[in-house]
Amino acid sequence: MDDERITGLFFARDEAALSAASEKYGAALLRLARRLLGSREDAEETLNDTLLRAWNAIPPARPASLGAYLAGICRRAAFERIERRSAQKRLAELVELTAEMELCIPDPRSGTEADESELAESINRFLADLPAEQRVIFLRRYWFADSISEVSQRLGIGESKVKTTLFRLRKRLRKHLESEGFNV
Amino acid sequence: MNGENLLKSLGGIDERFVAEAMSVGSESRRIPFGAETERRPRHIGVAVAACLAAALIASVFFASLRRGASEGDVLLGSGEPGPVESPYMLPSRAPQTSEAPAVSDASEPFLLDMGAIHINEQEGIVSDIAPYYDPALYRDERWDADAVSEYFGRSFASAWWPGDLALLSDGGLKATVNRESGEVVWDELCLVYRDEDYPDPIKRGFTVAASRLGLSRCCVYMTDSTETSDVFGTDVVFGHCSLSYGPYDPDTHEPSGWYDVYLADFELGGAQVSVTANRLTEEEFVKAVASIISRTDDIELVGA
Repeated sequence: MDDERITGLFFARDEAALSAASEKYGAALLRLARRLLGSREDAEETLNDTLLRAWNAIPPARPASLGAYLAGICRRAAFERIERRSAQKRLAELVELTAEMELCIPDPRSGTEADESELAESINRFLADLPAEQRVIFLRRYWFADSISEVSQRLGIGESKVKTTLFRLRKRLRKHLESEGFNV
Repeated sequence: MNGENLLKSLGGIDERFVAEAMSVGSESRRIPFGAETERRPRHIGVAVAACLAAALIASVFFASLRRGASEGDVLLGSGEPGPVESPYMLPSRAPQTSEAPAVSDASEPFLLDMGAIHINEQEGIVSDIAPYYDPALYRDERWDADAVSEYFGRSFASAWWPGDLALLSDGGLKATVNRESGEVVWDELCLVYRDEDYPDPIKRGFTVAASRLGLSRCCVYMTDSTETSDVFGTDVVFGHCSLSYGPYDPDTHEPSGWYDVYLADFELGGAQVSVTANRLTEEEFVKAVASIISRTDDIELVGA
């Protein structure tokens, strides 16, 4: 079923919207949640949260891309679940991703909090200037939490190229954030 | 702000970017990038790569002049760009053609992933003996650096080497030629980079040997199977062994110590090339080899 029809079911308050969305995007959302959370049980609960939140948000929201919209909800729900966990229970993969992101921050020791929406806007500008392939590599790694090998397979390029591209992008993002005044 | 805040902030980015990343490839299939999301025609990407290739030709040329090292060794090719992997992205590797200089984003160094470099562990080195040519039938010729460059069509000089080493060769070679036919039968180029002040008879340094006819003193790898590594598009066989040095204990025959020997064999521009190093670190050696292939000293090793 295409996205427009599924969205139409949401607007019609037809519960078939949930099963259609789950059928089309459930596996990808479950995988994203599991990447961030580790446990299948937590990932399944996050998927349920995602569908419930989508049910409450559509309408009035009419997403341009239903998949991206649901993935966004799923990612936020997974991070909320992560925040409820103790630091010791953080997944090794998340710790690794966090450490990589740390390299993009001009001054991680300052302890000042940046406004999340301003930061997202700045990252949008950074991403908009990137060639499409580099943008996809960046998002697959840091948005979808894919492993290097998964990014490499998905794009049909070598792992070495993925690693070197990410290395360059982290350096470039750090410069970008600095130039936009995120000396936080 | 910490890494997790930043990771979380990514959740607020434009959904178009997320949709784009979702639409490329899948977990189970390898789909070449650009098949579904290409926005610019391929020829624009190639043209951009060609322009940057031309810019890099100039930068490599002027960098070599600035360094003042063996100017005669620096030969630039036709300027044809190498293969472009994607219309959106400059190749992160130098082109495979030996004639073209390295293509890169001019503002950034070449990146070489040490994780992708395989060093074959060797038991030792075996060398052939140089062939003997009857002086009645063959004569030796001395070729200067310009003649050598013309003969090989490119330079095998290292663009980077550790600061304590110095290039001891003038870039020329002694060729052996058949007196009657004029055929060249021996053409081995040897460039030596060494620390002459190193406090041991076995000095720290490396040697680059190249030949279009085949090296007669090339190292023989003593393992059953060897793995090659991709260095900017060139297949390189790297090897390592530890050799002992004296004086040896007269009773136990124990050596005074051990030193590292690294080897690299590859083909470049139709020539067989062999690089051998004593007492260099693995990173120094790989970077020197990469600089011979890419002809740039602006190389950054990652994952070292």
